[in-house]
Amino acid sequence: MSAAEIDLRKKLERMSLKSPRPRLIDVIAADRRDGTYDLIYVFHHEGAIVDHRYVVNEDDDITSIADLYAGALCMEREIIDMYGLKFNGVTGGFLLDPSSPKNPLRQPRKEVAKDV
Amino acid sequence: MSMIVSSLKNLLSKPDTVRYPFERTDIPSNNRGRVVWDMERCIWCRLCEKNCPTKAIVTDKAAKTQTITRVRCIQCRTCVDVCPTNTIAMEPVYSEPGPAREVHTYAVGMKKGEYTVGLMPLSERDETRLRKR
Amino acid sequence: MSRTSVIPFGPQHAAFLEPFHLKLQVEEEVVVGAEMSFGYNHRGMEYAMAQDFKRTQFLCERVCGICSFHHSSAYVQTMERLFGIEAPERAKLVRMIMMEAQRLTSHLLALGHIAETVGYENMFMQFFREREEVMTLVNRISGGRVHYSMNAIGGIRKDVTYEGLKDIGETMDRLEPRLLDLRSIVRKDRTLRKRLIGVGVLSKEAAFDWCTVGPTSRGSGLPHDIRLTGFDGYGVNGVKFRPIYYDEGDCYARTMVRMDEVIQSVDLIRQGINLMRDGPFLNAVKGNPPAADAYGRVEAPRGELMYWVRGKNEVQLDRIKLRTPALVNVPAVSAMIKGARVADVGPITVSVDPCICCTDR
Repeated sequence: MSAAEIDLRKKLERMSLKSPRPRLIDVIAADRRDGTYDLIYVFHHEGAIVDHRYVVNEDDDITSIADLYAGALCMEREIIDMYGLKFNGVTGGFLLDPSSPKNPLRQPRKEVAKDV
Repeated sequence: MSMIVSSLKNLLSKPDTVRYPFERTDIPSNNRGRVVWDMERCIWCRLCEKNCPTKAIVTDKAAKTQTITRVRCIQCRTCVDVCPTNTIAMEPVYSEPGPAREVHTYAVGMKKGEYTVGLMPLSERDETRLRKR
Repeated sequence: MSRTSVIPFGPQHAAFLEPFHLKLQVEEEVVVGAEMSFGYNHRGMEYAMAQDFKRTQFLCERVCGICSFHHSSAYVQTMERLFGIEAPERAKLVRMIMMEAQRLTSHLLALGHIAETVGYENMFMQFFREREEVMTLVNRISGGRVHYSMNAIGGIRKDVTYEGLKDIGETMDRLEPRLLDLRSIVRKDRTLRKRLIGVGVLSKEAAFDWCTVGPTSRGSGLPHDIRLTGFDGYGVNGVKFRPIYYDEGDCYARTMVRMDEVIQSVDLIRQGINLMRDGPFLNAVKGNPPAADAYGRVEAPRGELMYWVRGKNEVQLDRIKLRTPALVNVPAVSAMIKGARVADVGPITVSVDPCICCTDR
């Protein structure tokens, strides 16, 4: 585990212990188009959105937060399917099956409005 | 009210359903349905073609025709809203499902509501997929 | 010592409206564990929606047929934040009225569905009869039964006329006594109470742990409702609103939350009509979405619906992410069915109102 990830984990743990306890809304991944990915943890805390943003590499082993929030498991599995990122102890296969295209959201985009 | 009272009430009242093939339900007059052109008024501005979100409309200025792929139309009313001369209207019908790969062409000189039926042009990918079958 | 056996439940099952699979581990009659698999309905919506921000306005309605207007409202609200504009008051109120009308159709469908799952055809018919009233109403107002196509980035595409508002009000007056009758039936009815009370309990802590939203979390005593904070139309323009919640956490509590919210929606529609003033209804936008990101949230019938959009100064969007309520509610079923009987798996699953086309996208 790299220093950045230990930091990530610590911050998320601290977040989950706050009072009133923040509700996890979503874990979002987004391609930065340079081999790195945005990983955004979105919480609902005291009536507003609080987000924690991290940049991760393609082959980083990211720590799962399924032990803090059970609902996070499906979000992480979706990211594994869509982007091929690795979460410790989490397997993909949530939306895609083995014969589906790999990492569909990572691929370069088609040109717009060219489908006749 | 308890369920038994409600059931008895329903038993004695008229049914809420209609006998469908013999009787039709009312479709509201502003229901979004089939797109039709009144070609006398078309000024070939191509706004409907450009704004159509599903690219269902093809305007041919030289041949003076408007062609619509019915299966691609999603009844969003965008073409009716952008048309500057009220050429396009929507008939209040529910669109009928069907496998027909056909396009309807409206041309200048046709009577109101008349159109010719053609075959839907397919992209290369669709062609190969169909041939494989 | 009994042996564990496996029973498949779904993908095609009489209790489900859409395909998803439950692999139940069963010891005699009691469910001891469950594995879920999704993806039978995956259409790659997030990819398709990032192609053209104007066409997405129509595509996002087609993610889910039963909360189509909530999807498009969430999308246009996010895009308005991204462009830095504000929709006019009138547009917000029209959105609110139509969203509540759609909540009526959705909740009545969910209630009818649960009545059907417990084998109560008569009640199912009654719920669907009232639902048809709302469906024809929204058809008269918007021109479509399912896809309203009323939203535009910056407001609404077409104003609702005075006659339209009067029509909504009159329909609500006609509908309310019938819905109140239905509520008293659901409250008192022996069949429903025996079948649903104490079944599929989700404790408050578990509801929080599974991040549940909407009627599922409100049935477990968590008063979470995005209508209090997230959506612009509620709370700020003098709409009086208080979330409904029940503490029991069983199937009956979730059903009662929906039943009470149906009555509340009628009230909210009336409040919206009363607050309506003449004025502009569209602040049109120009240009492409800027390279920034924005969140947008609305309370869909199944719970909080969130959109996250990142633009890149082009017609394309860099990334659009949907967090649909079913994505967190449906996995929570695996916590509810532990210890339940096999016969109760259907009602428990249906009580969270699983929307698989939202989950799979």
